[in-house]
Amino acid sequence: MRKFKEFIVEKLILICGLFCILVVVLIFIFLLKEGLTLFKTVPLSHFLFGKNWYPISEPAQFGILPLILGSLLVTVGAAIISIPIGVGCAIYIAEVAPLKTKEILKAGIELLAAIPSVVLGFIGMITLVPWIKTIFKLPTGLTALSGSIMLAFMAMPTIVSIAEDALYSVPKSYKEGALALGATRWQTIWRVELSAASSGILAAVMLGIGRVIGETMAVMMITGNSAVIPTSILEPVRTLTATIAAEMGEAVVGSEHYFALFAIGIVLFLISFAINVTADMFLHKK
Amino acid sequence: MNIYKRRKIINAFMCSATFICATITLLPLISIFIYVLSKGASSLNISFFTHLPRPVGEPGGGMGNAILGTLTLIGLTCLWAIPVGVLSGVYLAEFGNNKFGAVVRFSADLLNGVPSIVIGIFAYILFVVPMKTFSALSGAFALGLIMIPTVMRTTEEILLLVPRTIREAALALGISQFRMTISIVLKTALPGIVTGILLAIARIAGETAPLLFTALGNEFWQRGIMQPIAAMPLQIFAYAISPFDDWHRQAWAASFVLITIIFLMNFISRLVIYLQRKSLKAK
Repeated sequence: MRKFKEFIVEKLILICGLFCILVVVLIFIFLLKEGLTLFKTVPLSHFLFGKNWYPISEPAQFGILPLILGSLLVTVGAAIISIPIGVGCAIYIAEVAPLKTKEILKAGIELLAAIPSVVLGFIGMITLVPWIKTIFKLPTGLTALSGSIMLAFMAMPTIVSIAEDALYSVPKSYKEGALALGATRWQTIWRVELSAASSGILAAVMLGIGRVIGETMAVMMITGNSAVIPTSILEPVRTLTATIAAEMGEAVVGSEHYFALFAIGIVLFLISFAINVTADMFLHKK
Repeated sequence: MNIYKRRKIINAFMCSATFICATITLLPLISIFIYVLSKGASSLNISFFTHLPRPVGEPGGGMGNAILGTLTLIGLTCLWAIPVGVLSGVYLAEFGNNKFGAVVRFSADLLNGVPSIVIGIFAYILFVVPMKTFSALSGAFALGLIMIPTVMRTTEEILLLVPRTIREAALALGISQFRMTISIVLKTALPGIVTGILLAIARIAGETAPLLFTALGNEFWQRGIMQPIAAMPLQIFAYAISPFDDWHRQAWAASFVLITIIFLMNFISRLVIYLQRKSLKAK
């Protein structure tokens, strides 16, 4: 009886261990099953490089180039803002700050990560969007720039906490060696610690970017949602995630439009897969 | 200017630059909290917690259904995601020190990185399309997929902190490895695991995207888990994008309540995890 119980528990634990693998595979299979149906009628090149996303006009056009560029523009903007500030903040926490400040900062950053994106989006809509509108004298403040700024704050906690971990795990002897040779604190950080922690910091950046690309609610609320190819960062854009969120509710199950949204899901899945593989490589390169 | 002076100036300048970076990172957190507090607190009253939403134009009303809905969704999610998450964490900590464990770990990280909207549409085709109805159940499924990786990795981390000596002592007394895992190691690590769960709950409480096509939202009190259900993040979203001032006020109040809940959970769990680590390391 006891043996039997143990057998059950053992198998249960094993099954749970398998669960994550199973779910990831299932997600991919289901996305493929629905998404690939689209390519029976729409060629892949039209889907990826088509310049028009008119899913409900006659004839419908399913080119996701504007959406990809929209996601890319918002992401690059957010990366430009969040990477230097995030890494700077990580350096401050790991190397410069006194112990007490360090604890407070770490707790604060974890709280920042916990703010729901729908609340951030709402705040962005009410405060940031009108500011952008008046500062740049635009017809609308719902632009890629507003999205980038808001998303930068969402990527920051990820970047800071992983980069800080990486800096923290640099052996103390490196730092002591550099300081003993007469390097200033900054020279130690810049020449020794940053390069020793570089792979961890790159992983932090990748995962931060991953968070930005996958973000849906805030982006949908403040980037204006117009599916045209953007020519500047001060124009409304629409991202891949926001397209699914905005249109899935209206798409008829089994229609081309529905399959196209799942095909976008495949693209998003592949992007997050690539980002995680890269980050994993950086993290385990030791 | 000699080189020593220059080095000192650069050092001081760059170190203060990192301080400015830290300030820029934290400033929005503080300002967001103050902003939501100032906007939301004034709209809070008893009826906000007990009443149903009113149509546009009628003042008053509340979000009782959304608050109850969020609690129901969290409860349903915990029901299945906690056992799966904790057990898979146990698997990783106790038996995951091999190639297969690495694959499990990677897929957990990947699941954590998959955009939440993609998880939403996955739950949509798995539950909503075959059942032909939006439901609390499908929402809880989607939220569970977001919760599991977090619970799993924190459980693993905490279990690995349990000292070897405790395991060895248990094994030396002649109990089997599974018995040891379940009744000794899990028990020792319980406070840590609970805090990991609290953190994961705080994370899913604010998730909106996976609920859009699963729980859907509901204007009325819920009528069972096979029916659409209201949730606070969904309600905040619906009210935030509406043009009505009254609805905006309600959305601020809901944001305030949601953020307060999430902050409190974070705070409690950090505190417990801090104490737990301290006592485990002291042993």
